Amino acid sequence: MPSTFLLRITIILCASVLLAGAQWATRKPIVLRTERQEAVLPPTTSSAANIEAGSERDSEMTADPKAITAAMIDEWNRNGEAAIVDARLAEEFAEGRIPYAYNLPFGDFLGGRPAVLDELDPAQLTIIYCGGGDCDASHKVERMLIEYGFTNVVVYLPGWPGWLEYGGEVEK
Amino acid sequence: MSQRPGWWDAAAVLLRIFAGGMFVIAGVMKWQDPLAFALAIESFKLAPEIAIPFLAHLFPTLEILGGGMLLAGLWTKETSATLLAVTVVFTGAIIWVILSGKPVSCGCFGGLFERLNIPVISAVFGSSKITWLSALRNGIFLGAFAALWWRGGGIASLDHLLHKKTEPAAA
Repeated sequence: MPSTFLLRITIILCASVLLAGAQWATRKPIVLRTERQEAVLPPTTSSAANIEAGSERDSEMTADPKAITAAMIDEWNRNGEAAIVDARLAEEFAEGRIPYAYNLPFGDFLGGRPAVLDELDPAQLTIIYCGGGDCDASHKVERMLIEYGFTNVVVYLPGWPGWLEYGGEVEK
Repeated sequence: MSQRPGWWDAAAVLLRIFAGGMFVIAGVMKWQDPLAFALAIESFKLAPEIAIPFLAHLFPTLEILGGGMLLAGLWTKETSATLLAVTVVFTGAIIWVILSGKPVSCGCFGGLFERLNIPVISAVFGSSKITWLSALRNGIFLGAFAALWWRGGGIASLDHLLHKKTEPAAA
């Protein structure tokens, strides 16, 4: 009977809307974007870094994510002062990555806390990159890391193409 | 006289377990972390930002409720029609992403199959990269829902049980 059919579909949809509304009202609010925080960066010998950050060579500094260069990442990575997170898909990660990078595609956050977070220090500087250009995976991973309590997260905006352009070492 | 089970009754049970079970699991995975699913919806850039938080609660709820009803065989035709419509929306979004060439993480099935990392299964059902395989996977579900909408849940369903109870006793 068409009327019963439509009535039941309406009941299913209304029940879903009501249940979703109840969750929306009672669960933690979903905030898609947080205030961009200034990253606390370790000291570096990279002149570009010091010029852009306007800081002394031997002191800790803060900088806008736009000031992060491949040279700075290279130095921090070599000194173990930053954790590098590759937000690209596993296939792209396998083809080549910044040395010691952790693979953490945004999709890994769907369904709960990714296991790789146990290997990262929430207080340490964590640099995230993806494919550069219009890739927004690193921003989504940044948002999720902040949600999981990471306090010093920054996105390397030029991403993988920027690293290759710099001529950085590629791990496979 | 009791009805003997036919081929469709067996097929309906399998389809209901497959499609209903998958939707329940997918819904629970998404329900666990609404922020991650909201960000996944945002990646598609198809919904207004103000609606995304609500949609991030609505889709998992609909999947869990609809999947559960399919498993039980309750209102099978109506539930299948509803989930078919939802799957059509998801498939349209997937095709739009493929055609636009945007690097979007699917969010399909809440990342379940990517986590399981089973060869072939993870490639077909996994959430990592949106390809025509993702659209094909949705096509399988569309077929399952269409069949259940057309033929109903079979005799091993609550629908059948409730229908028998409401039937007038034979003279």
